[in-house]
Amino acid sequence: MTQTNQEVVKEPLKYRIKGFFSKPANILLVVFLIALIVLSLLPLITMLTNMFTVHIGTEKKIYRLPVGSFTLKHFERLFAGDDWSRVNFWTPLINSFIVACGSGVLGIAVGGTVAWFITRSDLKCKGFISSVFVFPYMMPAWTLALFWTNMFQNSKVGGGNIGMMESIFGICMPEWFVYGLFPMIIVVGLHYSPFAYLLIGGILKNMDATLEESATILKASRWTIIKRITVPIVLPAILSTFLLIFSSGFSSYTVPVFLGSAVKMFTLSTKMRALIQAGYQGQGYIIAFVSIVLGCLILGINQWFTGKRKSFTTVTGKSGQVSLVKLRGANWPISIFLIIFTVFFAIIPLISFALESIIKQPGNYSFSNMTLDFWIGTEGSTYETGMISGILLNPTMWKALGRQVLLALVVAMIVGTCGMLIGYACVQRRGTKLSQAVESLAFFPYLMPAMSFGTIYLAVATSQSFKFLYGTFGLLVLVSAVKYLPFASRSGVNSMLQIAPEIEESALIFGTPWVTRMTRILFPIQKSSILSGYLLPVMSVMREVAMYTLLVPYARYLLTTMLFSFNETGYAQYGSAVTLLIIVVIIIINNLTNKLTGASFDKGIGG
Amino acid sequence: MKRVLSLLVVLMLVLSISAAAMAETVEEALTAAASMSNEELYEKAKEEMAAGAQLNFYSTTSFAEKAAANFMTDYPELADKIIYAEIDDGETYTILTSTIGSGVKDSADMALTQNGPDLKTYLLDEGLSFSYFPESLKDVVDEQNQDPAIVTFINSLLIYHNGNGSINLTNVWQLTEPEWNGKVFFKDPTKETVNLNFLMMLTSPEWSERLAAAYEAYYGKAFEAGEFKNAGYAWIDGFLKNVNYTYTSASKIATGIASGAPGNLGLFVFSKLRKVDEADRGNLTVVQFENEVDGFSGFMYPVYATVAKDSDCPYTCALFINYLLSEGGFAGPKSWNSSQGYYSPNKTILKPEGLEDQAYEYWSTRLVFEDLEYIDENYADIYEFVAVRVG
Amino acid sequence: MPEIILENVTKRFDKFVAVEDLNMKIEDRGFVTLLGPSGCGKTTTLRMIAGLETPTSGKIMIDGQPVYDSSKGINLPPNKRDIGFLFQNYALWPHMTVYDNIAFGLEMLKWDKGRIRKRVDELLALLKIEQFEKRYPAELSGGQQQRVAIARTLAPSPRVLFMDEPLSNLDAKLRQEMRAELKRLHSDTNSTFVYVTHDQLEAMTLSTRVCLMETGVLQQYDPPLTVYNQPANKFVAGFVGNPTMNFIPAKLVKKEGKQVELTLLGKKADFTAKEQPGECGSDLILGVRPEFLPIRDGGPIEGRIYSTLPTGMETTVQVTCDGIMMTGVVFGSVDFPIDSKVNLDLTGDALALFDAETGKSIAFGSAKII
Repeated sequence: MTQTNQEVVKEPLKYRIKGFFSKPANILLVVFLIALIVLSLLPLITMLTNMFTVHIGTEKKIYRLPVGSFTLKHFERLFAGDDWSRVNFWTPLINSFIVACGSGVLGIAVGGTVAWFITRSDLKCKGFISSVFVFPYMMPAWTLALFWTNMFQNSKVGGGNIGMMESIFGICMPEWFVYGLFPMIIVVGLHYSPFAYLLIGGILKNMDATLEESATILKASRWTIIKRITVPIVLPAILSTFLLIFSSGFSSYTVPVFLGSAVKMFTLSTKMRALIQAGYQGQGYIIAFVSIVLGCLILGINQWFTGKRKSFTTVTGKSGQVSLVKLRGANWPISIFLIIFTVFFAIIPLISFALESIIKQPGNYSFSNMTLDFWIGTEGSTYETGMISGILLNPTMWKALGRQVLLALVVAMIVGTCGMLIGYACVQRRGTKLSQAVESLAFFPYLMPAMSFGTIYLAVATSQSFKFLYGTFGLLVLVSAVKYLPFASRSGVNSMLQIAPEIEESALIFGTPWVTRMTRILFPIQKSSILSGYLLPVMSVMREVAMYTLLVPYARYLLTTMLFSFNETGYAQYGSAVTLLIIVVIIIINNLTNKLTGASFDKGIGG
Repeated sequence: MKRVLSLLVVLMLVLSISAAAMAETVEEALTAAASMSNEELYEKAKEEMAAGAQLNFYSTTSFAEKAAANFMTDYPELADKIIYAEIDDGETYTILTSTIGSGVKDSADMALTQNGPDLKTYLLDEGLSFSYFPESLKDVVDEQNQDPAIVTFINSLLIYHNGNGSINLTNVWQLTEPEWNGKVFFKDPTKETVNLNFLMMLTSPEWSERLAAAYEAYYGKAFEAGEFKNAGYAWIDGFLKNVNYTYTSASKIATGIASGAPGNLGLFVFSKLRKVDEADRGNLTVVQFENEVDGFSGFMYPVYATVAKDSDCPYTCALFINYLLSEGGFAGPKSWNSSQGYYSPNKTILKPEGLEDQAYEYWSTRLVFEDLEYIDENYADIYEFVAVRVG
Repeated sequence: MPEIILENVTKRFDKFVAVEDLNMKIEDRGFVTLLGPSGCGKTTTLRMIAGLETPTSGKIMIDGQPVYDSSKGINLPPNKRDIGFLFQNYALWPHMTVYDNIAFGLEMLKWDKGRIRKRVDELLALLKIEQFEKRYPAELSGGQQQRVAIARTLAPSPRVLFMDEPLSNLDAKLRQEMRAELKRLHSDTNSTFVYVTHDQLEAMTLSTRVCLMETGVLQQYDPPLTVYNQPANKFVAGFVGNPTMNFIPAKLVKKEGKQVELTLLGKKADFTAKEQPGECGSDLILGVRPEFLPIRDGGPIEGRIYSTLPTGMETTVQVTCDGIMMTGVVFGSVDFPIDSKVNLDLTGDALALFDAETGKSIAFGSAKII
């Protein structure tokens, strides 16, 4: 077959290349392929070499080898099989694995269930539940962890500090409930459940309702339909959601620090950071690599599932005629339960942050203990707390907020546009090796833990050829763009898949140039979906911290790094105030975009 | 022809070397600066600023920002030229080693950092930064605090919640007893390097002997090493078994113990008491202010000032360091000296009256100080010993 | 036995009325088509009978049993209505093989494995898809998917079978084939078929009765030939039949018994009705099917050829007469030069007379131009 092809083609190479590049999609693919290799494969190679080289400091000292020389000692030490291996690798690996799996399962169970109720049943108060349910995703995950401890800590565990549950209801939760793997799973799982909700909900919304209706008519019970029809059909979506939550849970650093330390429960990412900090960089990078390998493994499983003969393409049918399942008597109880649930995890934290930000002494909610100093205090009154003034009067805070919002918007523009272009090019050339390579390379950065991403890019930015990047806004833009491209390219591919090729072809026949086709035809058609693709990175940037800590010129450069240093050093009130501010900003951006364009970030993922 | 060429090459080499020799290196500038008066340095600093420099200094302690502000008031022609950047303690050396000498914009000219052993390993030994100390202050600062220059000491003390009355802690070996399990709060030493350094120092000959003596005083029998190398290791083993890591920062330990269960004890940064709300402050008692403790009553760690090798304003750095070491820099308005737990190595600077604290001299015999050489040599062994026990 | 009765069934989506006050009776073993342009409420009606959609008000009975009654609060879910449903896009489950798809409904009835095997084999044979048993839907062509969907629907032998435009996704040739098979299936399975389509030809060829709807309102419910020959109104007349009926504006001159005197195309005409004509205004429309408009030398109506469309067996000829476009059919292949002059005649006894204002038909019969 290839032979005959060659026989027929026989054009000179020059013309073949010219022909190849006459298609804009090919140019795009080649450009993106090169850019992605540089931006996402290079860090990986840096990481790999770091696993085998001696670093300055401790390693140089104990191995008595020159910096940069090749060594296998990091592997030998980490896998020696003694207490060191157990403490620094195996136990944390198991913990991380449990947290990652547990939160993946919980996130999908909660998010998927809510998605089903919202899209497939006649649940009450859908609008309220669906808009409030996504709040936890807007908050940085560790703030939810802080909320958990504030809520449940009690006189019998940890340091004996009294939390809200005890002070209001007199209930003391046992230690396993307050600290350790259980709350880590709950917090990470619930933080990502809105994500699962959006992804699975998007698929459910687009899934042809007749697939379920035909089972109903064949006398399958509600439960059988969910089990045998709905779940298997949305399984690829579930699996890829699981992969995303798993990777995030596995590399989450802040949540285990806040919830695990009390019971000496450490995860791989906390150990990775401790090892790197203590000068055992080589071993730290091995750990980072392990999490990437695990991510790839799950990605492989995912592709194996979707790559099978069963085509899971969700045909869009007459979805306007979805008949909603009647919950009858169960409707109010389920609605009320979901309302309480979302209020507890989405509204109460906000209220608690608001409260925490105005009380002087934690735990004391009396009126006399309240002050607005942390918001609008001036120099004198807040001296003791280490900040110069209340956050709303603090120019540092406003600058940090300004930078964060600007960063979010710039990154969104870049990532959204690249995502759309990747989507366009990949869909155009679907099935070719080139398009597959670009699609999977664009997804790759997701598997890299944010923290090691930061470390690697720090090394890149301080190297001779890229030093102009260090400490600049541009570096943050670059790193965020690479890190958040996976979502955008995925949503780009999804939205472009929904446009029939004839639409572009009919413009092509009129001789419309490519740029005009993109801007005047393809973009307007999928405007809402594409704009939503732009919004997701906004939110991700607004709450990212682990990746930025190493790359910001100083901690108060961005709002989130500032927040993390507040929370870590115990400026709880400032921390709460800033958290609230972040969430409010995200909501404002989302609503503004929604008002102006009809797009909203919850529309972005489902595609 | 070949000869002419090689001659040319040699000539160019000689020229370039002499040109390099003519431009003063940072190290040379610092040596020169050490014997200059503040007025001379101010003139030099103005020259540097006129040449387009600004002093970027990285610090892990936020009081330094206040000190910089005071400095600029006292040297008005340097106004707006001293740029403070706070860095997280955990990232300090990662960032400094990557940026110093890399030529990146606004990299540090000067750094105020804690954790001496890492400073030595990553910056001084690698020639990335230099220490500087003025001749004029050599008489009022102990010699061991001059190289590298220490701008302030910070202490961590044994402090407890007095809700159940006194805990009668007179000997540090009490803290290794099972009754203290889960009631001792200490920041994870694998995450807080100064805590790690403190534990490491306990294994040194000096401190392990003092601990052995305290052991004998407490148990009435001589310490037998057994499975441990010395009394220091044995104490660490017993102590870490009891430690509770619920609070992830010194401030949280301070406020957490103050509002938590009575009888809990922490070994944490004394100055963080200012974070505790006044209503709770009375709950906390510093063991040392009650009675002497056999062994130690805490530890002291320094904040060092060093100058980056590629600084374009070494004289300004020198002037700033002089300032930090003097009354004006250390005890100026709202600066270190106004808070408990900060001590100038300059022995002429005492803590103000009315502040419940003591001067550096008082603490120097009661606290564990870090020894750069000892930690440097024994780092890996002790780190593994500690890390495995943290879990 | 399973007779379906709809009484005053209405369905509203917010303010939009999808189906209004529908009354209908579907006899046992009938093959009823719900016909109409898209958006007329036919699919909604079907889904309401099946239980996939809940009416706003009214009553639906299947086999004498109320499955929906707004006044009594009865609403049986679809799985209790003992029906089969064939969806427009087949709704085959992509993650199941052909066998599993067909067997699913039988599993739900808790049949044992052997019996399921036997029944599935039967259906595979009936629909001639034995060789695809182990394939996934994505690996089948449209026609094959269609057969699988039919097999799946028929598997539990439902007594009533609903079909929602099941042939619309097939190409013309396949559609023709499947039409024949569906008709065959109807008589083989002994069930009642309710069939939704917008294709009048399908309705005409398949059904025992046609239910024609427009904008949610029932227009006519009669056997196909009645609908064709005696359309209840101008809409029905225009919708059914291809090429469509010619509508010639006419003026009433005199009405006397079964005789109606008209003027049309500037000429006088006599219309003889079969029965006493109904009440009407003075503006009328004469409906003439193309087959009653032969081209004949000396015919009373003069026209000019606009275009001719020979199909082989017959030729559709479009003629303009007095500014009105008319369509006639000539048997065989005849090609008239464009713009040549021809004469048309009015023949047949199934001409219809409509009231121009209400659109209602007032009489059927023959006409003669004087």
